[in-house]
Amino acid sequence: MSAIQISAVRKQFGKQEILKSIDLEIRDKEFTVLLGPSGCGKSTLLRIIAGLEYESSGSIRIGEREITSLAPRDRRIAMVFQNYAVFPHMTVAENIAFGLRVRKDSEAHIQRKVKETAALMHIEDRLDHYSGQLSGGQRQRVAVARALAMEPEVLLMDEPLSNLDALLRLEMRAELKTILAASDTTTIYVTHDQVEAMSLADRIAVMKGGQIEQYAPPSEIYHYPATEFVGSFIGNPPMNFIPPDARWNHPTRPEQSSQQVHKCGIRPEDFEVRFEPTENFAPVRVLVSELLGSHKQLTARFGDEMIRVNVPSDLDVGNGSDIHIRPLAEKVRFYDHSGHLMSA
Amino acid sequence: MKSSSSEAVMPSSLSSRASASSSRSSSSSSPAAQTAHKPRRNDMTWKWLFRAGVSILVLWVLVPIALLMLNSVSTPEQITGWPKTLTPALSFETLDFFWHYQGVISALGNSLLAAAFTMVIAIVLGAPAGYALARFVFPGMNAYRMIIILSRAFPMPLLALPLAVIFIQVGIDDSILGLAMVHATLALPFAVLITSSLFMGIPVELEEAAWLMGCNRWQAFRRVVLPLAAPGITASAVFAFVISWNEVFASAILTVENRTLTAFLVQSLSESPAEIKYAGGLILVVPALLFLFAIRKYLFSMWGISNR
Repeated sequence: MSAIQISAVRKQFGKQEILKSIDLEIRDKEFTVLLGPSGCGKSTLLRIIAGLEYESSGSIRIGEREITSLAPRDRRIAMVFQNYAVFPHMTVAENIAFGLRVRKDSEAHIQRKVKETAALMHIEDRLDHYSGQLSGGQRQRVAVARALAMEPEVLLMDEPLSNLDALLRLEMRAELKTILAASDTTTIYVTHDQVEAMSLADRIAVMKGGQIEQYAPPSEIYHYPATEFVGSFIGNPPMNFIPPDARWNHPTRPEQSSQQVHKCGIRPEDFEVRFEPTENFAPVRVLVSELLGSHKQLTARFGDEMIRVNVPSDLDVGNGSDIHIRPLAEKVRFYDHSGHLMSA
Repeated sequence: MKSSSSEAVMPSSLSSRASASSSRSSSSSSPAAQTAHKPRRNDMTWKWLFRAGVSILVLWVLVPIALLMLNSVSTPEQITGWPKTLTPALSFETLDFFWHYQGVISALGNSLLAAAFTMVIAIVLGAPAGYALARFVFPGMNAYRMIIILSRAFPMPLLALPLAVIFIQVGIDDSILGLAMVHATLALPFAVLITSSLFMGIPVELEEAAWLMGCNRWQAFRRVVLPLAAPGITASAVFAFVISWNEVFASAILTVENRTLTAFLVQSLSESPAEIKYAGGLILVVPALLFLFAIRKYLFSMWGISNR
């Protein structure tokens, strides 16, 4: 229940720079997701915050406390691991009570806390079981209950849902969201699953190559990707990046900018479609048309580029047909040569 | 009797291999799948060759032990007489005589003491080394692991005489503690290898979770790692015990008055009657055999074959 301030944290392994000067500020009670492809340094950053790995330089504060040089046990942080790390030689109740016993809380408080968190995670009838007797989903619940019982200032979660099967993952995701929102704990959550990130986060930090590409609320990340990487990493299918086309004659084109527009970023669902040649529309040839239930996804050739266009599922577009498209003017984003979003 | 014993051994050896690990069972099942489409006769030949091989190996080990047992409960007349019989008189006369043989009891005591010391030294030094190998990456780690294994290749006869000289200089010659130190050098490589594979099998996240829940390194080790590793550490201790118990060369050279049972038997029984040798052999072999049987799955794990 505290804000976190990460300033200029760097991590080097030999000559390799895993983290390149990370600055991140997380507000009290905020749910922040670190999102990125594998090897982007998100887990390393999380482990540095936990104290399980040391930063090469930089500092981390929780509230008013400088925790940079503290041992993990002095940081008042709880963590949920990807493999749950439920102690196999202890019952569920003993697992939840473990941290409380180590810090020598009163037995009455421990019993109350065990009951409370077990009920919260719906494992109250599993308290006498060992982890070997539990399913993956139940182990996950024990791990979360164990973390919440500590009443930590900060809760860290390292891909907690990635070992669950798809259906269970959806269920746990919704449940985690309610429980963590109610617990008012500042949370940092690491995942490579963009849907998970979008659905859970107050703010998402998209990472790539040891740097934070964009740190913003999910809707801003989706609609205003700060870089081409963010646009193509978030969204399924990814954002289209195509050279600006004069035929569209965009009113919002940022003429005041001194730099030239290099690419236009357009989400697949942000195109208008005509079957007849129309003014301000550009012709494309549809290569593949896939019906995905709620919409139809077209893969089309636009000049030398392949683009994806989503159209209503009842629109009759076959493979090999020619259509004319134009992006919705207010939905086009402009990117410069370095791949950064230009302010409109 | 031969065929029935080999039949009895086959299924158990197969099942223990299958349960030993999934990777092994899958690798052993794939050749079977490959041969499945070949002519049936070929398949049967292989099966019988395999059975014959296993039977020979099993008999190789079991026959001498069986003879030891039979002869040590036979009367002296039966042992020296002819024809041999497979049904001994079940006389405990020989064992009884052996038990009261001059010096046996004290030699047994020395053996137990040396083995106990060896066990303690091997675990106290070996388990931390195994933990370090399992948890930390440090320069020269592979070389260190190699040296541990290679130290077993150093011939004992080369070492024993210089050691005897040094022991006399230091003043621990003919002492059980001195002998235990030599035995510990023999047992340590195994202790390190077994415990390191043991600690590798315990996810590091369990420890990290304990650290984050308020434990320091030692508390996390004691409350989380140790309970999980205890059976394996016990096994590796038992193995150290057996190594010392079985060792004869260093024992015979480094002790004079305080002989261990092995050294004592080598020295005093060479000119004893056959039945006494059998009895002595049995007393030596049986405990070692039982101990090894009890910890066999951890000995597999030493070579990286998982048993969970």
